[in-house]
Amino acid sequence: MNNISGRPSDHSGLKPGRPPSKEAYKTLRELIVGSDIADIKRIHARMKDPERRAEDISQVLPEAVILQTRQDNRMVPALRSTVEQIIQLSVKRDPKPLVDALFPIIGPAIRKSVAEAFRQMMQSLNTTLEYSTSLKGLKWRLQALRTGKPFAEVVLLNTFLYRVEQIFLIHRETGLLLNHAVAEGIAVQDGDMVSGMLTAINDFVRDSFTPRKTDALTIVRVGETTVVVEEGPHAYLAGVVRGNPPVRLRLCFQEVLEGIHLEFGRELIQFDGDTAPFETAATHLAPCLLTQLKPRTRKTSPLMWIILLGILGFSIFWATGWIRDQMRWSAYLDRLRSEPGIVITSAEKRAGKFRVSGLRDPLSTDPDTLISEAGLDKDRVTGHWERFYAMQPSFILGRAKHLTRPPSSMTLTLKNDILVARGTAPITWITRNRPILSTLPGISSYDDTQLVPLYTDAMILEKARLQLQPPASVTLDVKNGNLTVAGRAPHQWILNLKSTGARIAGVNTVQSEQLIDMDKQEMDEIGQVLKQTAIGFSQGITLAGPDDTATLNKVADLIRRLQILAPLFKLTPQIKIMGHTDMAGSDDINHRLRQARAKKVRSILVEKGVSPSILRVPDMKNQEADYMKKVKTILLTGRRVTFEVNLLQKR
Amino acid sequence: MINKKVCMLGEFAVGKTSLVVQYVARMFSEKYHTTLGVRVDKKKINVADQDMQLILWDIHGKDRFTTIHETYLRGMSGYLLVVDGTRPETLETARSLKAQAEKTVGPVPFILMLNKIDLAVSWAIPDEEISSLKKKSWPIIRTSAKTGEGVEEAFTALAIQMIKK
Repeated sequence: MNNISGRPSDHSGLKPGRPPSKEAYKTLRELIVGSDIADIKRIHARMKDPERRAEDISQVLPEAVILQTRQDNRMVPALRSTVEQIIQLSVKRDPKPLVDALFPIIGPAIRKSVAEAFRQMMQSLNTTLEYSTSLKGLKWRLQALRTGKPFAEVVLLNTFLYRVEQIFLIHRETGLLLNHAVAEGIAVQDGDMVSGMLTAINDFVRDSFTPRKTDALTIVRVGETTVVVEEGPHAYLAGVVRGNPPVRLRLCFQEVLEGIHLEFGRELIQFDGDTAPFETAATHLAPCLLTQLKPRTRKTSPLMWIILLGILGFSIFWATGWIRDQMRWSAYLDRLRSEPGIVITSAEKRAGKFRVSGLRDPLSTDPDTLISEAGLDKDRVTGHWERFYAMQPSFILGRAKHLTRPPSSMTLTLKNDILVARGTAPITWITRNRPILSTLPGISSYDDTQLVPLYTDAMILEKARLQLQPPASVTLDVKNGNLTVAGRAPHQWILNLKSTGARIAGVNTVQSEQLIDMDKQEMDEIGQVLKQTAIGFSQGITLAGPDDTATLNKVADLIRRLQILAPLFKLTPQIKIMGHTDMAGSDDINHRLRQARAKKVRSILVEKGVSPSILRVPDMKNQEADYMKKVKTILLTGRRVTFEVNLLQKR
Repeated sequence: MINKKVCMLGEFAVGKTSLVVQYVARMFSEKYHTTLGVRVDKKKINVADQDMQLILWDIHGKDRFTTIHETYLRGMSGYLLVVDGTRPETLETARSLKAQAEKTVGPVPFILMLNKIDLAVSWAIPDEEISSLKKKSWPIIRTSAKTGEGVEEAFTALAIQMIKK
């Protein structure tokens, strides 16, 4: 405006040499700004009115905050102290709202913090454990011993590519420490002295070696340790780094310094030694405590190879053994399953030992004998077997045989649940086992009708005695089933022997050649006696004496006896009573006398109970001469009666 | 905690390092070690109910051939001018150092330590000299790094001044 007023214009339409009037300015303004004047006035009024300005700003404030937050982080430090003051005020006035607000998060926050602490502890423990026992760990322990460094430091040196151990926030002008951040597990030096010395070194280097006072020390390297220095206008950061500091560390430092200057700008300028305002700066520093672990290079040592090969070899050996064992085990189980009379209920392998349980018929194959067959070690296999009865025909038969032990002369077969015995067996076996076999589980009935019983000689003898009731004069003997009968026995008994002897159980043959028929013998003897007997006569038909009467009585007895005996042999006795005379007298008289004497004896005999039918008195007329010739040597006298016995077959 | 940077200024071998060691560790060694550059030490104290930490910059001694880097002096809240009582020329050096300090950081509290008073026999600074300095309101304390006499007093006096400022 001064220019306008100072320099008269030819185009203003105003008269030269005179200062323009207010009117003229107004006209000019209207010409230039025209219709906008009203707007400008309104804006001016609005700007001056605090209420309206507040209203206007309130309209855009939220968007502005969002926009700024997106652009950079300046909003956060800018609002920080205000927010802190608000919180402090709020707590001072009434802590309850803040307590209520924090209540839902304070629990999880504590838990997270505790979990994080544990995690770090575990990580640290893991690393220590890992390296304290390995070969590498031993090597590092040696290194620690040699160099005199603590083992932890040696581990750090070897495992970290880099690690920002400490960060110092230092007031640039005084070299005083404002704040100090330290990584986990780092031994802390005195930050105040370190920062002082660093500043001194920085000053010394700057003063001594660089012409420009703006240049500064940016890096100090001592052995494994590097100090990275990043300067700001009022403060600088010094980071103590183990290993090679990464490029991004400097970027991080720059960002942190910017943030700190933004937030603590005033405090930094007015710093008089009081570090309290900078206590919160630690949160800025913490993100720069960067760590990068060394990637593990897997350079395997020959020893490791040997160990690995050893492990591999052992594994193969073990696996082969394991597979072989498994195969043998399953073969053993298959074998057991196929074995009749064995039922597996469970099979397992535990701690290198095999265990099988099940049911087993006592007659089945012993499972233990199959263990060796399968190639398994008996000590590693345990079998638990419960007894049971298998119902397969072979087992029923086996059980029957096991229980009764049948002789080889017989067979047992099972058909349609019927147990059949054939062949021969001792009667004792048969009688003893019949009830056992009849009630054997798994059969419906027992048939031993086709089983021929066998007897011992003694048994046969006993039986023969019982059945035959031999008289005392008879001896019985059995050898190999052959019954030998000797001695003397009544004919009837002999007949009985012949008819029943061979039928005695166990008797094969009956030998009775040495057995004498008592009745036959007696009969023959009677015949002989009668033939040699003569009844003497004196004169006529009178018996010669008492002896002859007695003899005749005896003859009568004998004939009666013969009458009993002969029928036993199905014979009929015929007694010829022959009368004899001496040579004196005539033939005719003698003939009559002979006849009379014979008849006399006959009648006496009949009287004595002899059946007259068997008594014959032959005509001795013609036969006498022949007869005399025959008997003259025996008989001294001819006055007698003789007998002739004939046994005729009964018709 | 309030931290204050305090510089030890004086000609070489006046006993700056010994004073610091005596003050911080209450030790004294007859052996002489020349300080190269700066040695930083610290001492926590409580003055007038105020916890305080003195960061002591033991700056190498000045002589005719060396100068003190001004940058070492920057940011200090006070300083101790050390003079060897047996060497009068060291007082001159102290004067020039005071001038340098005031030029660099302005008028900050200081104490003049007249050191080595244990060596009374060799004392060479005349009392008039001292009186004239007192007249100029220089705070002067006689000290002995060897016996510890006046050492604590001098540092404390400086600390009180720094707090008052």
